[in-house]
Amino acid sequence: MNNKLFEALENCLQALEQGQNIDAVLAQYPDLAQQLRPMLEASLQARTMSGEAVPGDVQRRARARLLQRAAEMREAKRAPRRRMIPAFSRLAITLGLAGALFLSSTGLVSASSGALPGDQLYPVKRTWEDVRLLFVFSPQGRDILESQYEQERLDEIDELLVIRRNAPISFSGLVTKQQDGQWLVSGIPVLVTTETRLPATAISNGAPVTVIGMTHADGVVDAQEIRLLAPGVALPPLEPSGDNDQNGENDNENHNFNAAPTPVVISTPDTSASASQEPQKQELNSYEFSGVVESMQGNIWSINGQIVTVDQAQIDGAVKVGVLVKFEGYYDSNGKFIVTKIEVKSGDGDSSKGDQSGSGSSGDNQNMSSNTNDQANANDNTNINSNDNGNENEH
Amino acid sequence: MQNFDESQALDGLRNLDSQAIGAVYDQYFPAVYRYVRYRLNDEQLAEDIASDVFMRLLEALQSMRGPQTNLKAWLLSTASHIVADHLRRAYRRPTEALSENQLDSAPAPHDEFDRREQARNFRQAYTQLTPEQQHVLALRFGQGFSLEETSSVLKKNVNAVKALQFRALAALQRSIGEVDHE
Repeated sequence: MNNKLFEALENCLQALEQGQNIDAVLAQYPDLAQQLRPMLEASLQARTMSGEAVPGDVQRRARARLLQRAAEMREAKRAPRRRMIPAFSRLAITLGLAGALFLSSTGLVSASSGALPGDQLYPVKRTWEDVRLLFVFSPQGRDILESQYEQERLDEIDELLVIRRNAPISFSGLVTKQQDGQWLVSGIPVLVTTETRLPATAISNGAPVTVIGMTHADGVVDAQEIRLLAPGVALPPLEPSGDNDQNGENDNENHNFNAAPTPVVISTPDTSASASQEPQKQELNSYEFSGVVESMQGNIWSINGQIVTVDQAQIDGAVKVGVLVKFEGYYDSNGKFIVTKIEVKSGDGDSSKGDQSGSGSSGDNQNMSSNTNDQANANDNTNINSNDNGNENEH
Repeated sequence: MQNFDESQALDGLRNLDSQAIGAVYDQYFPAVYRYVRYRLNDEQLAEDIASDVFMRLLEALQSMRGPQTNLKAWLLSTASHIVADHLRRAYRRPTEALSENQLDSAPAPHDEFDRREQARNFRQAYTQLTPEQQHVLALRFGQGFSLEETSSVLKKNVNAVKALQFRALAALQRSIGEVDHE
């Protein structure tokens, strides 16, 4: 019975839609007419409420909002994935080589892991990095892997400078010092001459940049071009990790001019994550930094020019603007640095204890950790960050 | 819009291509807006929610979710979820939202009076229905969808839609009767 009613109603609705009137429609179902009539009347009312056209201003506003959002998403996508553009151009080589390597089992990839720019195996190493990126599907994992590769670039250049080899390089990092054409970009000494192509906008300390140039036998990078990157991009404001330094000496001693200051630190693989248990998460390394808190606005803080998000952070100690803190975290898929842990290293708000790069400080007061790291006293001009990697921040 | 290629448009959306986004918007925004307006009878909310639907579409496609086909069904279904969330939040406040000024924004001529009164009663009755009943009526009578199109959006078979619309219309006419007697 019910099915018959449902069917009759549907037939009547269709007939009404075709322009018949209710009486004519119900004449086909005299036994159900009493039940169907009020429903059909209600349906006619429901149809009259269907509304008019969308107002033009509404349509324009919503369209503009959507396109604006799309532009923001494009920008967010582009900034942390700047490596993906060259990656695409290398796609054919990447896939070809990857296939060949898998098939031949030559161990070429393994052999290339220590290659430096200028080495014959270096393209293999970079290609393999691209292959790995292709197979990381989690945005967070990809960001972290890309950050690791940026760190690897710093390490390679550091080693090139140590062995005094001329080789074309490019890397990204934070400008931490600019003095008489001698810059420091994430711990790498960079020579900026009149021939260096610079962006129209002035580059201040703390700005993220890409440096393209040549390593020089004098122990510096001769910059051919410096490009300004968008603020907040997912690049590690790191120094070379020092892994290449076989005897544990301070690499900066080999650089031509006084290096130092990144108050920050090091890529520290998150050893707490079990690679065997969670293959996806094995890439989710955390980074550890230290620096001076420059501003605190809600959950968004600035520490040595680095904008960080602290809403997930475990905070140890009373943090206020000006204090020296050690903090850990990771880059999220949008390139934001998410802090997971903050520890106050110095309760004093004295800015002389920290490198204020990027914050407008005029001094080269980069001895931030000197007051807090007693173990560094053995080294006259170098105080060592509390990490085990042997990274050092000079006075 | 002629020659609207949905598959191509979806590819464009995944690439955040402005032209594709504009084309999809032009194609479907009016339907989504009208749907939400039908459900909530509030122009401002309709604008906000319809915009939100398209934002969600972009975000879903960027995170490898979102529709593979039948974009319109996805958009209306998403709109329905957002409306349902809104109604949940606004639970027990709906009659205030149905204030007279939403229906009577212009002075009513005498011959319009009955029609407006009827519209107001309809609105009041409509809000008494379950979200699913409101949804099916909005699709069939607000959007003018066929039974098959409605079943595609609702992801129900045609017979289930017939039963649902029957119950929805029965509930609506009962509710209109109650409102008329108040």
